[in-house]
Amino acid sequence: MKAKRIAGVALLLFATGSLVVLAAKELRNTKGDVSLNGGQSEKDASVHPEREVVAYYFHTSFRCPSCVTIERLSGEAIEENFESALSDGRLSLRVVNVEEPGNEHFVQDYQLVSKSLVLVERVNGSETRHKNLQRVWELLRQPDEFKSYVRKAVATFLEGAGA
Amino acid sequence: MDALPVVSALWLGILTSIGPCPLASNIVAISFLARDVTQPRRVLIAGGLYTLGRAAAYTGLAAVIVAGLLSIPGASGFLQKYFNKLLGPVLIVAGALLLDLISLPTYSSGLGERIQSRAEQWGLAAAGILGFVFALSFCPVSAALFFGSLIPLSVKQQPHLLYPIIYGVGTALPVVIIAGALAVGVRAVGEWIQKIGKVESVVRAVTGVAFVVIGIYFVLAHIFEVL
Repeated sequence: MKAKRIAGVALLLFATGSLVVLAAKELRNTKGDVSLNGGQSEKDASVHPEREVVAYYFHTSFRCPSCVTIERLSGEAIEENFESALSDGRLSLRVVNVEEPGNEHFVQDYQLVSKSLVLVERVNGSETRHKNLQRVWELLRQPDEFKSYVRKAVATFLEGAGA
Repeated sequence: MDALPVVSALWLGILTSIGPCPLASNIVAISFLARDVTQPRRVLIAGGLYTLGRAAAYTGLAAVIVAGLLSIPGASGFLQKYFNKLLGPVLIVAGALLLDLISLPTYSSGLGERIQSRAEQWGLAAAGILGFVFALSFCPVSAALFFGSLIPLSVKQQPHLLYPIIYGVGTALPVVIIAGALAVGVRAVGEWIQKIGKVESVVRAVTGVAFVVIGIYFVLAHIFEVL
């Protein structure tokens, strides 16, 4: 009986303690957002070719198994099929954590609802169009279909960029 | 009404519930729904209420979004960020209550007796609440499929709110089927060894332990970020 009581109190303390930690983290993040504004963000360090396509994989700090799979399959689909476009700068792949200071704007820019693969076309540094490859979540368990879907979408964007 | 969007909504729901991401909450739901092993009718009703709870949450959320009261990225980000964090402590406390490690404070013996006498009904209502809360605890897969695929589908079709209901049924289907099968299976084993009462107490203990363990997992993964 005493052991049950101790276990109950310990669980209650753990649950309460975790809520206190959560509140403290949220407070710290709020202060951090203010002091870190204008800090590190996703930067275009590369020299812009006249036209370019960027494949962004957007994620958050919490990484789930499905999210890691999408990132891996997306990378493989692009690297296996677009070697020359990657090497001459017409295409690039960037992995961005939208929870890092300075990157939050991507959520609104591309209406992100989860981890996402987004193709962006830029001409002279200005964005001309973008597409969220929403079906990556539905094709997650079919790697061949997944890669084919990404390959076709990137090829269409590259053709447009080259037109 | 076209059948294809209906089937798509159902399939999106099933797809949502079979990934590794909602596995933790599905284990809790299955153990909770299947705990009344001696009363298959109660398992069935609890499964129905769990499905209703999920469908209600998705429909309510879709209604608010379709009405333009919430932005899709805003709602998705908020629910993914905070609901999973709050779920851990809630599951731990619920598990401790199920295991009888703690008891709800009661201020008069009359109230205590009333709560006690209504425990059966509360048990069933809790299945609906569990479905509602778990539906709103979006993980990346469910957020992508609900906000990214189901909402655009609902916006294009009439009536808009039929599709979140079907999606909700789809998300509950695998859980309810497994819980039903488990209840029938456990009951059969219990009758075979003629110790159904003992089997039931073991199943109830497993339910409580599942709540506590999964709650601790949620706290470690989403609050302390160590998993």
